[in-house]
This record gives sequence, C-alpha cells and structure tokens, in this order.
Amino acid sequence: MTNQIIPSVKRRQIIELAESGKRMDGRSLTDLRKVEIKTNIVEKAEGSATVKFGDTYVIAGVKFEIGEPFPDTPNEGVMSVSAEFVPLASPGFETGPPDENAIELARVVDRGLRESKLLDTSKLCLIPGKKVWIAWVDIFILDHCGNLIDASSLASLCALLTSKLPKAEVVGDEVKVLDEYVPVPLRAIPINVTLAKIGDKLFVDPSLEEEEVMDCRLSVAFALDDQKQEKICAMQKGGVGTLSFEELLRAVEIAKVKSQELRKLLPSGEK
Amino acid sequence: MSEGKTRIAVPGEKLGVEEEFIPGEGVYVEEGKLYSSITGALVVDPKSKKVGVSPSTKVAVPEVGDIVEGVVVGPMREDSTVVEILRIKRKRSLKGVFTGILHVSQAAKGYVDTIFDAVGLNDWVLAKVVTDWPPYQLSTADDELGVIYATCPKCGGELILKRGRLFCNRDKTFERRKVSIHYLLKEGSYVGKDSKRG
Amino acid sequence: MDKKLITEDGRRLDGRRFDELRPIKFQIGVLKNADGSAYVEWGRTKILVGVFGPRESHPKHLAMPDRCLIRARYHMAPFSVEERKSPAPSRREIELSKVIREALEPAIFVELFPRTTIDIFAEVLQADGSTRCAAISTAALALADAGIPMRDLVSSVAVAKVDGSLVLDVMDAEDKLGDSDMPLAMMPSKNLVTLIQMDGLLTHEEFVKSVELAKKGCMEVYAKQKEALDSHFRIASKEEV
Repeated sequence: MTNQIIPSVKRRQIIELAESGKRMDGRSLTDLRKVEIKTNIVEKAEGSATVKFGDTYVIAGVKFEIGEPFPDTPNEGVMSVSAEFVPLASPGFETGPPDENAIELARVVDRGLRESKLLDTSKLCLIPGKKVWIAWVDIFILDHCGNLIDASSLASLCALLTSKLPKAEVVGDEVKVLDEYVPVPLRAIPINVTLAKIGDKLFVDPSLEEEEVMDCRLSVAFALDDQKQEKICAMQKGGVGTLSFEELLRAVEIAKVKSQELRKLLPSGEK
Repeated sequence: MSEGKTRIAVPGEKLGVEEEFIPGEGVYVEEGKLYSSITGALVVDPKSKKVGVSPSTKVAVPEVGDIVEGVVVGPMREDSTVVEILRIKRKRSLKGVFTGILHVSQAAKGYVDTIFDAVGLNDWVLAKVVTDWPPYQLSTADDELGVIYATCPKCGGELILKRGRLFCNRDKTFERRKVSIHYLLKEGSYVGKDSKRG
Repeated sequence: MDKKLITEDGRRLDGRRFDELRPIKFQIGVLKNADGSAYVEWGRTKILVGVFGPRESHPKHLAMPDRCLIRARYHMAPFSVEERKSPAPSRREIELSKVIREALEPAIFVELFPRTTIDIFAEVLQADGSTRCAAISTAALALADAGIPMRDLVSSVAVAKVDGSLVLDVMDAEDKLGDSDMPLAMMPSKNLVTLIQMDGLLTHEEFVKSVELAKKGCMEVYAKQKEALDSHFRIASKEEV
C-alpha cells in the first residue's frame, strides 16, 4: 500500500532482501550498476568525460593553466580537484558555495588521483619556482542517484586520461604556449570502489536509497602502475557507523575485484 | 479517437475556436481561441465537441481528494498540528515537502478530545487532502487513514498494533492514536516480510 | 583585428550563410531527479536544464499568496570556456539568470500554483556563443517536460552584426569580434517578445532588419522544439501502453 519511505522500515526491507543476496533494484550485493563512459564531451576543455553509474550522472573537465607552484614544491606542477553539487542534480542541493559533502567528495577523488601518482607533476614544471602547469579538474554532479565518489573518480580519471597538454616553450622568463599538444604525463591509474555497510552486509556501488539508510561506507582506490603492480593508494570511511576488522578486510577484497572490472572499461589504450 | 495517428499538442498550440469546441483538460481560452497549455496527446470528442490534451506528465501538487503520506512535525497544539506531506498517492515523487494541517475535528469519525489522542509527534500518517489551498487541510477520519507508523514517546521504540491499539513492547504501555488499517507494524507479523518486490 | 568573419562568397567561419542556424539537437527527459529536464547541443554550445516544482516555497517568506514564484539560475561550468572560469557565480551569470527568468515567466501560468516555487537550473557545459538563447529555448522544453501548464513555448536566438552584415545565431568568435549582439526571445504562437538585449552599434534600419532576422530564427528554433517534444512524448506514450 504505502511505498515504504519510512527510513527504518525501508532499511529493514533492504536487510531482509540482502539475506537472500538481493537488492531493491535487482542487483546482487556485489554487482555494479551499468557503467557508461563518454570522453571528449567538451571540446573547449583539455580533457572531459561523463560517467554514468545507473542513473547517477557526473561530468568532469580538465583545464590546464600556467600558474605559480607551491613554495614547498617549486619543481612540480599543481593538480587541483573541485566538485560542485549543481542544484539540478538533486532536489536537496542548494545553490551556494560547496558544502562539506562536496568538499569531502573532491578531496576523496583528489586523494585517489594524487596518491596513485597518476599525474607526473615533475613534468609539469616550466620555470622552477615561478611557472608551472596547473591542472584544474572540475567535477559537476548532474544527477545524484548514489555513489558519487566512484562516478566522480572515474570521470576525473577518464578526463585526465584523454586530456591533451598544450606544448610550451620557455625563453628566459617567458613561457610561450604553442598551438600544439603533447600527451599528459601519466603514471599509475587509480580506480575507486565504494561499498556501503547496511546491517552486517556490504553493498557494492550503493544506490541512493541504500546510502540513505547505510551505517557507513568505505571507499578504496587501487592503483596499477606501469610495472602492472596493483596497490591500494587511498581509502576513506564515511558515515557514522562502524566496521569490524573482518568487514574491513572483506570490503577491501571485494573492492579489489570490482576495481579490476572497472579498469576494463577505461578508454582504449589505458589499462 | 482513432488510434495510430495520435497528434501531440504542445503548449501554445492553437486547437480551435470557441464557436467550434468546448475546452477540456489541458486547454485554455484566450480571445475566443483554444490553445493547449501542456504537452500531450490531443483528444477530440466529436459528440460533445470537447477538445482536450491528455497530459504526458503531470505536476505533483496536493489537490482535494488526494491521499497523502506525511510526518507529524508539530508543533502539537490541543486542536491541531502540522504534517509535512512527503508523498502524494498516484502522483510523481515530491521534490521537497508541502505543509499540511490536521485539525482535531478532522482526525477521526467520532469525537476526539485533543490532537494528542489522534497522533503523536514524528508519527507517519496517511491523510486525505480537504482543501486546495496551502497549507493544505488534512483529514485522517476514514478507516484507511491515520497513523501508519509510530514510535514510543518514552523509549523511542517502534509501536506494534495489538488488538487495535498501539503497544510498546518495552514499556508495556498502550498509546492513544487514530490508527490506519494500513498500520505497518502488526503483532506477530514482521514488516516487509509480506511485501512483494520484483 | 583583420580576421575576416565573412568570406567573399558570403560564408561565415563555420560555413553558414548569414541567415542559417547552427545544427540544434534537443533531448528531453535526460535527468532522473529533476521533475523536468532537457539538454541541447547548439553548435558547440552544450547546456543542460533541470526544473523542480511546483514545490512549496522555501524559505516560506518567499511564498506569494496568489501565484507561483519562478527562480532561474544560469551557471557555467569552469571547463566550459577557453580560460577556466571560477565556479562562483559572476555578475554576468547573475544578470543572465534574471533575464532568463523574465523571458520564461510570461509563458507560465503562475496563478495556478499559489505559494509554491518553480526552480529552473541551467548548467552551461560548453559555451560557444548564444548561451542565454540556448538556455531559454531548452528551459522551455524542461518546463514542458515537468508538465507545467504554459501559455506558449519560448524560443530564442541572437543576431549579430559582423563585418558589416547581420548574421543569425551568433557563435563565440562572432560575438567577440562582431560589432553588435542582440539576443531575442519570443512566445512563437503569441508573437510576443519576452527578452531583448542589445549591445554595439546599429542604425535604426539595421535594428529593424535584426528583429526580422531574429524572428525568423526563433520560428526555426520553435519548429525544432516542437519536433523534440513530439518525438519524446510520442515514444513515452507508446511505452505506457
């Protein structure tokens, strides 16, 4: 009769269904939703990608700009990741500066990209201490239907993987940007996988209704370097619930398998 | 109308003149002419001379007669309380809430002394919309209407429907409510078990 | 500044004639969360519009007792332009949000939903000229997708003067190097103007011609809007059966 929007009732239904290995949307506990990647959506960006996880829809764009390096890393370029929860993505999003959720999202995505050493920032230096390339990675959430972290990480990654860096010539103190492009210096490729814990069950790629009733979530990023070595490069627990050690280890095991599945979907040439 | 050749009308499309047709759903009249105000299939009844547009999508605002689901958010007054409407039955999901008012005179079929005898703070209720104007007046008098989910005001535990009344298993106390026949937690049956899903 | 925007044989930078629109592709119902949504690829301009409502006004003091409040937000993605744009709303975006709202509001039956709000959010994913016109035309479709009763659709296009001639549907290069820019929006079946802005220099005669050209352009946009609604809802009504 009623459609069970009472959180505690819905939570109980999700848990009961999970006892038989099922979910509200028909997936098994370890199934990802259908993942769709499109690259080079925005020609004016140096790189761009849209990613869909089911109905969750995000776009990421990369712009390169010349700027100043951080004082403590004068020989390295800069990567900056930001996320906007634009209000058309959810009835709950308000206009205004990024809130704690948008900032957490950007920082988790940033950490995965940064800690994997995806971008070789040493090759983004133009004039040590003065001029370097800044890679701006901007994420826009377009439709929020759960698991923004994985969708945003994948969109940012695909935007970077397919981006082109303008060629620059340094003459004395001057940098001349040419009308040519070189590939972006990339190294290890990070893939992020998030699981939600509801009751004593782990749910891969949580939907919005699962996130609304979850105890907590765990996001794990795995990086595969050019030696084909797979390593964990970033992790984030979110939400107020707890994980047992057994759950933590199991979650990482599952995430690893899932990251390999996602890796196969990357734009051609990149593995 | 004949099938196969459905004509989709769009807002602003001229559908005829007043001498010819009577405006139906999704149609407005301006200077003697009939126009569509929505997008949808054009429906012309040659007998009654009525022209209408069957809406492809419909806005979701409460209207008189709608059954809604909501939460009692208070403040609780003797004679009334505020209900946040979260869902309208048979209409698309709401993006935000509508404010409803439940007056004690509309809470049950019989006499109810105060609103405290009908609903409690944070209860989930099914109610019928009685006025077209926000804040929407609500009624919980019919059998299917009233509280569908409630927690104990003392311990916070879920109340179970026992012999027609709401009972707290922990405190062993009964709570006064106008309960809907659709109350979710019934003695002996566990919620969700019997609900069917694909 | 000797870059030629119009070649000897009357072609523009992208090969169009003076009175030709760029290829326009509308898609309707592209978002799950929004009550109504539409996406457009208008040449290289790409805009996504989502509509929420009518929903109860929040904060409540904004509510109007006799009608619905319309709010619009025009916003550009940082990567939508050549030089990265800060995501914080600029003065330009705030002004455009206002004129977009005012261009759409006359078409909406606001009196049907007192004390509620309709929110229109336009996100520019790539900007290549005429973004306000594309946003208005796409928002009209998102409003229709949300089932909001309207007097008419709203169609919009811009006319510019470049290299001394008037051209329809301004792209970025023409906007930057041209002599004037005039966006116009209208309710096509009511023949009423809901937005006009102009900057640059035009003689009175050129202005009259610009308006005529814009009107012709709007009617062509209108045809595409109708086509998009027709094909979207034809498919949708088939699926229901």
